Amino acid sequence: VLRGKLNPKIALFGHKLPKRDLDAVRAIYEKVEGRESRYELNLYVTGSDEDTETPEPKSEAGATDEAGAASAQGANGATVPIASGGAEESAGS
Amino acid sequence: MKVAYWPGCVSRGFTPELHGSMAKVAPLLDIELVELDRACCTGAGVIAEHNQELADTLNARTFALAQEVEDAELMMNICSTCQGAQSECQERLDASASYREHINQTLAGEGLSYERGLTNKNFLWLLVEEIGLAELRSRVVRPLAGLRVGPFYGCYIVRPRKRLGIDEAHPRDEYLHRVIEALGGTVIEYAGMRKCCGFPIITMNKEASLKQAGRHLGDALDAEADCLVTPCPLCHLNLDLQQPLAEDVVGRELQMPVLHLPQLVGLALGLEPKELGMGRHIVRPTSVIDWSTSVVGAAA
Repeated sequence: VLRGKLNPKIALFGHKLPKRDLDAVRAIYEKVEGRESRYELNLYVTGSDEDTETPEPKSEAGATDEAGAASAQGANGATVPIASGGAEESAGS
Repeated sequence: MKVAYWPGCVSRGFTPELHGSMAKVAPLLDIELVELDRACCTGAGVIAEHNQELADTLNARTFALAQEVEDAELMMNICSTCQGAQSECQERLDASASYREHINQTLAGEGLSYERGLTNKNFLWLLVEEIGLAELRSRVVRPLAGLRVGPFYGCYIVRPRKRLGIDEAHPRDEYLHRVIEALGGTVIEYAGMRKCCGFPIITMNKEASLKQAGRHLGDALDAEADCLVTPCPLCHLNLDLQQPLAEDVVGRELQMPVLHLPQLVGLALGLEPKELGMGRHIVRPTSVIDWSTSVVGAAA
């Protein structure tokens, strides 16, 4: 503190956001945290939960397509493919 | 070059010398910083573990604010941890139009919307890819000749490689080496330069965290580095702020100065150690200040 290495006020409370932005961030917390179920996009883990009934693949090609697609974790815990954009779009940096 | 500038919380609260030195260095590189002072913390990966959608929404808001900065070429940060956390969220947002729409619905109340494809680069990446090493070299007025600098990348800016865009065309896990060389310094390699500094576990297992930091610092000392340089303020906290405690844990004297990247760049661009806030470090960068004094003395 003596060397000015850290600013206790900012370190403890973060930099001060303008009131309207603080309100907007609070509103995001309230809205998203208030959801009854979580919506999570999982780009890496594909497949199904063990306790979820999975339809038999129609063909080998179909199974490959599904395994390669990104998926979203639904409210009931089942892993379902995301909308078409997910498999088509690539991540930027 | 005009950039939407994201300094991050740590650079403002815990390492103001980083924030300050970036402000001093930017005009010397013709970078115009437009600070995103309406944006909140990235969550540093912690919020994403608790609630992924919340972290993605908060970061999408920051990206949307960056996209509103008129004539900004890209968004720039000075924190590897922010880069890692933001890249993780952006990867999800850019991967799915329906997910992005879902997130943007939450932002709509503020009139904000994130459009896919924002370019967000750490200052290190910007130096190499936007300014260029040749241009950087041409702006050096005080080459770091004789200064032995150990790069400390940490983990957030080098892993996972695909998400961070590291490939043959963009060897971002080599950029610190290249920048040190472009500034005229000598690169000192050592075992821990791309390993975790230990910061993420400090609240759970302080001894292991300090042992990690102490080991990396000891490796650099054994390799006879004069100082380390890092693009991550959280690594700086564990390597500098906690260094006296790390010395106790590893049972050896370390006294290894740890510089922020803008400080090292500023030194080569002619700024003085004091201007760059080096007096604020816990481990006084004596070797760097002595080097600076001797170079200025020799020039006189």
